[in-house]
Amino acid sequence: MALIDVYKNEVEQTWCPGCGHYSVLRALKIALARLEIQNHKAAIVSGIGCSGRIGGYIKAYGFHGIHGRSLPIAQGIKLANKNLTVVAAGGDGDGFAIGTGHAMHAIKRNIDITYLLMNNQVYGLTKGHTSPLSDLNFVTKSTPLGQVEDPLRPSLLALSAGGGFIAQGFSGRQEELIELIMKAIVHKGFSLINIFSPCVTFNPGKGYEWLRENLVSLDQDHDAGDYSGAFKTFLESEGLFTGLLYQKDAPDYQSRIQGASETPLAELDIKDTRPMDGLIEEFM
Amino acid sequence: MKTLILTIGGIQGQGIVSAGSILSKAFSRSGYYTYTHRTFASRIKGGHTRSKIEISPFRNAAAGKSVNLIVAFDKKTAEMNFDISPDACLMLADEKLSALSKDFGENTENFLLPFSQASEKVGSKLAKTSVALGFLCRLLGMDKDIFQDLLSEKYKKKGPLVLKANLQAFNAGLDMAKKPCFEKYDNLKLDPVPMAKRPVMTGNYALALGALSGGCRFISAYPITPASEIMEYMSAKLPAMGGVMIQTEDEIAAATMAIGASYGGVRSMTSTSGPGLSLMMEGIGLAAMAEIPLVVIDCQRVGPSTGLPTRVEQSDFNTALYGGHGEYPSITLAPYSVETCFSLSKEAFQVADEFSCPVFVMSDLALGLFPQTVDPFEIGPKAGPETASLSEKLGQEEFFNRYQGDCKVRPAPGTPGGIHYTTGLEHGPLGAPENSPENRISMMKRRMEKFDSLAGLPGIALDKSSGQLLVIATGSAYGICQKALKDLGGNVVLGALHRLKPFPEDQFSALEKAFDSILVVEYNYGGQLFQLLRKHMPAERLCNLHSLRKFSGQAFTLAEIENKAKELI
Repeated sequence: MALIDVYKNEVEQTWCPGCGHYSVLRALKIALARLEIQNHKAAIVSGIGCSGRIGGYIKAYGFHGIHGRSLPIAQGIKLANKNLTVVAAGGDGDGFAIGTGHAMHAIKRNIDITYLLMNNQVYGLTKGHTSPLSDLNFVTKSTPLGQVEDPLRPSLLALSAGGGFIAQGFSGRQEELIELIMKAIVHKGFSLINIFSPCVTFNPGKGYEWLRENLVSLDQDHDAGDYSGAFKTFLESEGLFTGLLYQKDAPDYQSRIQGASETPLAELDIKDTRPMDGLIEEFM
Repeated sequence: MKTLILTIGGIQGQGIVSAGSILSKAFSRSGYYTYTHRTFASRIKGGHTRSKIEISPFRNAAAGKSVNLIVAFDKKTAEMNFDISPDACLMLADEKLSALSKDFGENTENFLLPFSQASEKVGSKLAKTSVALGFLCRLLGMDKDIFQDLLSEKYKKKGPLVLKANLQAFNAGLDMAKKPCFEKYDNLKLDPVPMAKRPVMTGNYALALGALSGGCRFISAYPITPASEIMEYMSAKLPAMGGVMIQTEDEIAAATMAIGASYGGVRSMTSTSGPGLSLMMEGIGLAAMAEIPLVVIDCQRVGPSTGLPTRVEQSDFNTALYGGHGEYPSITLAPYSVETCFSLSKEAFQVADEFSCPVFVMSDLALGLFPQTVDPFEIGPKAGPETASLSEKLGQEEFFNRYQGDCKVRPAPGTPGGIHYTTGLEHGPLGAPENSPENRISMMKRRMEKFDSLAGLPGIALDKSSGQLLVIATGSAYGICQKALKDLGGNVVLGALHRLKPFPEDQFSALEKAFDSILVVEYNYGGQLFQLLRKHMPAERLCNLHSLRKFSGQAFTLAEIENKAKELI
């Protein structure tokens, strides 16, 4: 059996033909397989929107939550069981409109999970509405005269919020994306990959062709350890690049918690109430 | 004297609350029961605060009426219209307040005492409440060692200088009470009781202890008055148990992170008050739909919106019973004493696990925050969870039919052979989305009817199941009813409604026939519990159902309840 088949299931995939998300799904399965992560030890958490389907299309513990909340759910799972590989995935609306607060705090909190931002700069499943990552002047059903707001820039936000692993990928650059996802999973701490994943139906202007022409791959000599350099790289390329922008080593949340047990919470013996001895006496 | 009611008041930040806490602990260590009613403002420093402490030989869960002793550190306390006890009252005001402008009548004697001055003499402006404690210790004939121990426990972490100043201040207070003019207040001394040492606890701490005892090892929460002590206590105690308390960015994350952790295989909860509960409703719907256990503790305060955040109300029952969109199963429990805060919080984790659904535990501000002496409850191994939280044996199939059969079998990620999907979409047995009408009907029935068996279990605690008048209350209203009704005789029976959903239909149906009338006492405008009971009364007997409500933010007075009950018998 090919490695990727471990993660294959028979659920009917309902994305449009040509959707960038197929390639994100493929890259994720291959990355997990190459890392030899057993599928029962992986939890894939998604939100709502086209991207939200991803957790159902992979044979692992898939959790399709509610709009914008994939990150709190994913963090809860990792806190319950640190031995799991937890990957959260969601669209640009899910992560940077309704879920922006959670995204910023997840980056800051640095729990060891991987977040795949499946960014197509548009709301697909609602049939074409503007997103906070949509370009200025973008015409949609909710912005018939064109978007008048400038887009958010997730990688820059993540840099400012103290993110320890910030990368950008592209559905159309599979091998690079697989490598990035593998690195992100291995990275101890919160990892963000902003993935350009085209919506061929509602944002055809930002399709494969446009992205291939406009996205540069970061040079071999790009120093991912240089914090201010990361800002510079981002600004000089106007965010149109793929590769690992920035990575730093910092203790993740669970290693910072004082007294955090080696035993995952899910495996604690809750019948052992010895730790409660003396608690009542403290109130006397 | 049988019962002493003492009020200590001042400006927030002066140590008034700490002094009240030391007093209640000192009496509890001496064998008495105490109940403290706290009044406070939504600010940190400045603003008036006071603690009214009732001390007696009996278990007591509500504030008493008239005061015997007032200790005033601010003008507001010194000039307040207290209900003065006919058995005599002593007003002790800090000299700094200068002349007392108020005449309390012939039952009250006023003294201006140099609390502040004595405090400054020992080199601290902050030890004046310790001076007052010394004064009260001698005046009331208490054991000074108990007070000194309590002061040491409180101040040793602030360093030797602070501790020394407070002990010296306490001694100065002892000396102050030596004056012969105070000897005649011997009548304020309490009748002796057998020595005993009992805990002083609030509902919030009891809820947290109940959660720990029920196997909860994860809480995600957002600070909010009056529920914060629950997360604070858990954050202090969970690390040693291998558990985690996490303060989230908001209540939406608090609820959904707890859902994630619960799905991940650990008994999990969140705690909040009304505004937070509103934010959590979307997550609660997910927990119900995906059949994930989730315990939500709501310490109710006056709403809607920011309302009166430091005042009592019981107006979130409807949110727990009918909140959120769509139709979903949930369980709503309501503690009515510190003891049941412990036992129902513990039970909440058991039933959440058993029925894989959200469980609300509805407490309120007065029950949550007001300290009272209780008899120690068992938190040892016997009180531990009765069943393991997760399934042990799973099939060897590639996928696990999570949503078919027993909802208790719920493999967490990491379990081989347990892979299934979890979604807020309607789903089939494997958890994958499924929208056929047949599936929708069978899954709705599975969820909505899974705990029908609970409706047959009693949900009203009472001593006697027939009589003239049944008074129904829960939360802090119960303790006040207990006190207000105790002299009305055996024909008036008090019942604590502690499970609102599933409603105890069989029990209530028998009770409403066995009493001439029923009175529902609650803190809200609309009569939320009254309306709930109304739905379960036959139309021809609805005229027997009566309601007493209060929504001013103030606690019921004993007279309000007693008079209403008397009208009905």
